[in-house]
Amino acid sequence: VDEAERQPDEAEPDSGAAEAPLEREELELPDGRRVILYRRCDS
Amino acid sequence: VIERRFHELRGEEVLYSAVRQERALLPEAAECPLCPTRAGGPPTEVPAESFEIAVFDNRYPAFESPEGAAEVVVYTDEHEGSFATLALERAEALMWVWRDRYAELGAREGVEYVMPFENRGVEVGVTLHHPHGQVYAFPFLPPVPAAEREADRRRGGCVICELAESERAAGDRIVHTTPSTVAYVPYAARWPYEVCVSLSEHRASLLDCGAAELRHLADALQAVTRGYDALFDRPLPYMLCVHQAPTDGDGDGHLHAELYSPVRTRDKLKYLAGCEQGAGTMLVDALPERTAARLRTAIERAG
Repeated sequence: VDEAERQPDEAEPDSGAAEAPLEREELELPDGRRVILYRRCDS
Repeated sequence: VIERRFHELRGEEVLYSAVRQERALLPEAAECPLCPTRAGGPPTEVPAESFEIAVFDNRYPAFESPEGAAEVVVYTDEHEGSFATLALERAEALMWVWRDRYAELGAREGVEYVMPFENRGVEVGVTLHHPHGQVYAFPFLPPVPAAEREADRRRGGCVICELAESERAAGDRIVHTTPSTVAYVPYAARWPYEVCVSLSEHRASLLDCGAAELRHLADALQAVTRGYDALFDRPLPYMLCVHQAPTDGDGDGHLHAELYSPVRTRDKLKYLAGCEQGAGTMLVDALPERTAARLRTAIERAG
């Protein structure tokens, strides 16, 4: 693929830790078990 | 009661969890425990009227804290569909959820290995159709990842890196690539349509991946599973297992996903019988080069 034709998505892989684009909310079930709801920050 | 016993002859741990006999078996959609709890409806495992991705401790666990953990990961609040049919954004979010679970569960004292996985299809024991997977936190290093670490020691380097390089050189078993991943039917595949999806760069775990790599991994896994469904024009049963570095700090690893389907033709299953169970030697009916060609075509057709 010609470099100029590359989409941003096809850029060289980045590496290392990144900030998760997720929000999390914790709830509790009647028996005490925990439920985690994950939601995309950009949704 | 969960009990773990060491099988001296095989040199491996065996788990006993009698409570798992009580699991609901393929309930009607109206009684699905993984659907959201809707107003006026029965309570489910997710006490919310809608959600994107939900994680909770399995009611019928193989492991319980502090001796590990067994979590259910529900991919969507929609009952129909599969991992393959999720929007790419949701599949990408799932990679971040797996990453979060790896970090949180792996940090617990006594947890030595964290494996996200999905069993899809009644042929591999699925009891609920709602799109979901699981994460097990093992209080010991299981035999398969232990064998991977031993392979690294035997070869004097990362075998996943070595295999990806040799597969790229051979080319005929590669079924899909992205800028960050390569997917191939291994040279010595143990199942007819086994696929390994590995990160092109050496990444020990999801924690070492950047955002683009996680997006590409989601893309690759969806491409392979869509190809699976296109292979015989039927929802293909499969097991998808994510291997990463052990979390006990002892040893490296290379993030990759292994997918195995028990299907060998449209309506024939591959059984683990005498040769496989008694001798531990897999006997496969088709050469990897041929199955790779079929799967590659199916992935292209599925788009």
